[in-house]
Amino acid sequence: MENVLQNIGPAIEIVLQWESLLVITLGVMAGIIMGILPGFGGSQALALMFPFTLVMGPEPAFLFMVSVYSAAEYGGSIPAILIRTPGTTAAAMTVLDGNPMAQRGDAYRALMLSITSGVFGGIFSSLIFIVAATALAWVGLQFGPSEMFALGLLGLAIIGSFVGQDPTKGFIAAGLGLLLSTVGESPFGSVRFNFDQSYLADGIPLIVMIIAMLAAPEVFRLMGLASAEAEERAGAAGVSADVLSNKGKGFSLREFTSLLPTMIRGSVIGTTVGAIPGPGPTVGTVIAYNEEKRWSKNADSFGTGVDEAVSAPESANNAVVAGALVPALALGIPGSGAIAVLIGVLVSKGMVPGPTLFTDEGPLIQSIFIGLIMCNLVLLVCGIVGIKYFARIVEVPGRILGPFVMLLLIIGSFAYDNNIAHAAMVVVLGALAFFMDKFKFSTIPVILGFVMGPIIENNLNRAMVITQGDFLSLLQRPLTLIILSLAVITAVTAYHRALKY
Amino acid sequence: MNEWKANIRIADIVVAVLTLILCTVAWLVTTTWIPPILPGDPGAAFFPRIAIGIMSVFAVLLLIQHVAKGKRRTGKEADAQTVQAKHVSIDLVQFCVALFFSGAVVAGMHFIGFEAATFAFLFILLGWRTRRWFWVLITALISTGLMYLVFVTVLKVRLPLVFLPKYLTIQDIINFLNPF
Repeated sequence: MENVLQNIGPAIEIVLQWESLLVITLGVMAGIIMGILPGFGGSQALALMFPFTLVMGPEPAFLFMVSVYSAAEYGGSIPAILIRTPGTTAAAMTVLDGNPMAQRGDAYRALMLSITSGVFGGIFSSLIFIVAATALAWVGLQFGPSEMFALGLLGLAIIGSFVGQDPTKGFIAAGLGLLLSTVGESPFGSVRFNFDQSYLADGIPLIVMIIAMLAAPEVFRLMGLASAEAEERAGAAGVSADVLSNKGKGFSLREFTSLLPTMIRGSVIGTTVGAIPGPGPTVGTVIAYNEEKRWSKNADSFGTGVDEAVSAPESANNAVVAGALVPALALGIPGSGAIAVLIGVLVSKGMVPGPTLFTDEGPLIQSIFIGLIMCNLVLLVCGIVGIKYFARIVEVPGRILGPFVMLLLIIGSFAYDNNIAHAAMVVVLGALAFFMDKFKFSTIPVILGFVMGPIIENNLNRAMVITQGDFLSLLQRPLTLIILSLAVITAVTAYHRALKY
Repeated sequence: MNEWKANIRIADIVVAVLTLILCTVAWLVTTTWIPPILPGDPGAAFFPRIAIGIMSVFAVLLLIQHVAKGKRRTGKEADAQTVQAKHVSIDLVQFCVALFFSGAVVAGMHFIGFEAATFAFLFILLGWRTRRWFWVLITALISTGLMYLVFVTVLKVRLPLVFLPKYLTIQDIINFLNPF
């Protein structure tokens, strides 16, 4: 508790600086807009916004990105409610009751329910983790190079196992990420896999990988959208905007209070699911919806536009954000593509995610969670004030959007080092990611492998030097052995699960 | 629609074989690197070989999975719906167009500058999709200008410019608009 009190003052100071408040507001606006756009989830929004962090310091950069992530998760609910098209996969559960509510003329109420529940979930989980940070800081002191190496492997085992349908494909993708992370000049001698090309000597920048693997496939899909599909979407959006202009029933403070138990249940589920690497916000919202249905007295009305059925998944959706940050920051295990981008921001600012981060960067860590609370408050204001205007964005057809977003990706990757080769890499790797996506290989393990690669390699090599090259002596450290055993169990369980279905 | 369709099983087998070829080439490349000198130092090739090993093992596993599945299915093929779900379909023409124009705008930035490449990219792609050429012309011009303002003047990105000034600041624009 002492640690929390020690760091909370400087953390609040960081968040209340005008620069931080500005980036939080900009991040919230950008996040909502991108969450609404077709196909753009939290990870794609973060990938697209990553280049902007290059001109920011570590704290504003991270606050900006968590604001984008948080707001994108909320933004995804707007098209889910208005046009039955979830902007993010996690918003799929909101469709079930949010859209019927909009259809009967209560679109405004559904959107208000969504924003208030989401903000409640976000603040709830942030508060939990401000307190939990002390315990995590203690864990950090127990880790040496061999434990860090084992932890990296555990992260890959978890992600390879649970992201995507087939663990085999997940592990191949993670291996590809590890291999790509070794391209370029090595700290252990030799320039690796550069094939005499000077632009490969510095390796593939993380920003290029993130943009190419997470955002580019979606942009290729948008650019190739058949016109009929796009027109259908625009038509539906027009209808929904008309519905929204008729405000219908609002949402009172009394109703908010009566929904508090629902929001708390959703927030607890979201926070817990978020803290487990792998499942992500979609699983969180599904569990929250099902649990709420189980607890509800009018479970039979679920699916017809019930308040609780919108509130529970929305609270869980935003609560996942703070929850997911914990394994990422404390253990260096990114639980999803979006969190991998956030880790990428830390790495790009010279910080090493993992147990020591909580001891070395206490105020920064606390400022992230306090920043999340601030971001949720800004989200509440922006959401309430701008609901009508943001809703108009659902009318933008994907085929028009595609070329603009592709330009942003190209400029973003170029801006990293003013190198046109990086923009070309985005196009080439993006095409690869598009095919991977089509062949049911998730690109998230590639990103995670790429992010974790240098961390695993550096720690493994350090541990090997310490033990004079005796790999087996690494296993004599109990903590290392436990973590490696967990990695093996995770992989075996994933195969068992895959064989069952 | 010009969709290309393939059975997911065949596609996975091809991907597994391609992965194994990639791993072989990558392994051969690692043999050309400098070996470690210090005792205990695993050297530059150690970690890439672990990654190659992981990919190879799971590529072989993918092959075995599909060969085993193929044998089990012989004689009792799944119904039409299942077969449909087991296919990969890609609209190759649309994808190639998107890839070509994305590659072209990158090359264009290098040879004819950011402004011309961006304008041409937006004009051609939006015009082709909407057929409203005048509207597209205005949109492409405004969008190019906005991107220049945001990235060059505000964020100071050194985009490869040919026609527009490289070091224009917001103050310069204000001075230009209000010379007095």
